[in-house]
Amino acid sequence: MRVPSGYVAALVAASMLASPLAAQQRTEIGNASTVVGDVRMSNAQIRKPQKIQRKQRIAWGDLIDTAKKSQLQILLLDRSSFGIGARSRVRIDRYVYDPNKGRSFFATFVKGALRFFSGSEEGDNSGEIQTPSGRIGIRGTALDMLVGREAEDIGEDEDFVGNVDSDRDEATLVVLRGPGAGTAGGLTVGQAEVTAAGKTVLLDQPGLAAYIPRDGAQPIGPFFISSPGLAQVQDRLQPEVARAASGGGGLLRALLPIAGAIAVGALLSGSRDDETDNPDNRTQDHDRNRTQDHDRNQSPNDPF
Amino acid sequence: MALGKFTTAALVAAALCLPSGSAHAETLAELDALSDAAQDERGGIAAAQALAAQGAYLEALATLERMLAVNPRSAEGRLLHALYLCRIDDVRGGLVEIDGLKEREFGRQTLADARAACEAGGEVQ
Repeated sequence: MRVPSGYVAALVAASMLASPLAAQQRTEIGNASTVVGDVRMSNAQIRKPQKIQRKQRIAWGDLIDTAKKSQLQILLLDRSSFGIGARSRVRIDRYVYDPNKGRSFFATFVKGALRFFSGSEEGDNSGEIQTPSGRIGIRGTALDMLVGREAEDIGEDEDFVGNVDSDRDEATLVVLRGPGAGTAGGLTVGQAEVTAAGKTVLLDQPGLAAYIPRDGAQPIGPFFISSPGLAQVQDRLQPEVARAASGGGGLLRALLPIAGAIAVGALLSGSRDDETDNPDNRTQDHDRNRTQDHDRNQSPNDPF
Repeated sequence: MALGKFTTAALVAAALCLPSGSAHAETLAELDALSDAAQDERGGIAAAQALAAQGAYLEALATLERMLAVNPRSAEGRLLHALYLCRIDDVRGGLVEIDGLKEREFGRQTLADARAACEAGGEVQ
């Protein structure tokens, strides 16, 4: 009988906790599913960061560093994924997956841009991500995070945040991307709890964000991030796509034929038509967001 | 290098049809197959559409992002990514991505259709 490696990961995890000698073992939990540019890994055994190749195994405690114009996606055994942008540093400290019981993980996000997509919906799934200024608890979600200068730049441009004293290394911006209440596919509605300095901010709708300006400061939010802010977050997470969209490529780009023949319906044809959600009753979060945008984006200091 | 239709189909099938019948990977080898399927533009889009057909929109988005990392100019990939954001109810995120697509590249009607579909939660009206 084939033993799923998820069980193996859980068993090895348990044995590692029980035996200090086993601390030398690698607990492989996923792979580098996409590597662009210069991405390196180091850990307790590999002190000098080594370049990562696509499909290379990722294990507990591996510290990942991406260089300028580089990015990586880590695919985990439950098909959750970490998308890591340029100039970022991330470590998955602990990850346990049992296909029948669920998944839990703890990761440290030191700097840069990170996107998390949850995978299997089976069982009880949870995760925690520590940043230099706070902790993010997540449940069944799509979540974007920035730490450092880019978080500061985008966060401080948000009207709700206003003028705050931020630290360029510690500032953390968290944006929930979904799934929202109107999701297709019956997915678990995403939630994130952003905790720092004794205060927790709940993000429970797509577009809601929280900003922690520095270690020791409480999170500011929740607020709906502006569309320009959202676009900047997206660009940090997929810099090559952003570059292509902005017309990078010069003459060659100008000579390419337009792709205007794309039919939206045909592109979506892989979608099910028999989903249980009724489009007529669909929660139109776009409209709801517009209304709540107004309410939530009223700064607490704004009398109007 | 573009893969042939047969190769693409085989990679997608290998990635999605797991031995246990489960919709989710349980071995590192299966993760490698998922990675392989998304290296080619056609294969990545086909894999994402297959996942979306199962309702696994977050995995479909992650698949597209794997593909777009190595094929960042994929017009269909960028548009589908935006539409799948709308499907998980991130309507504003989807519209932000559609607004970033060039009319010269996609055509006015396609972008108008995409906006309408996004505002309807990713449903074509």
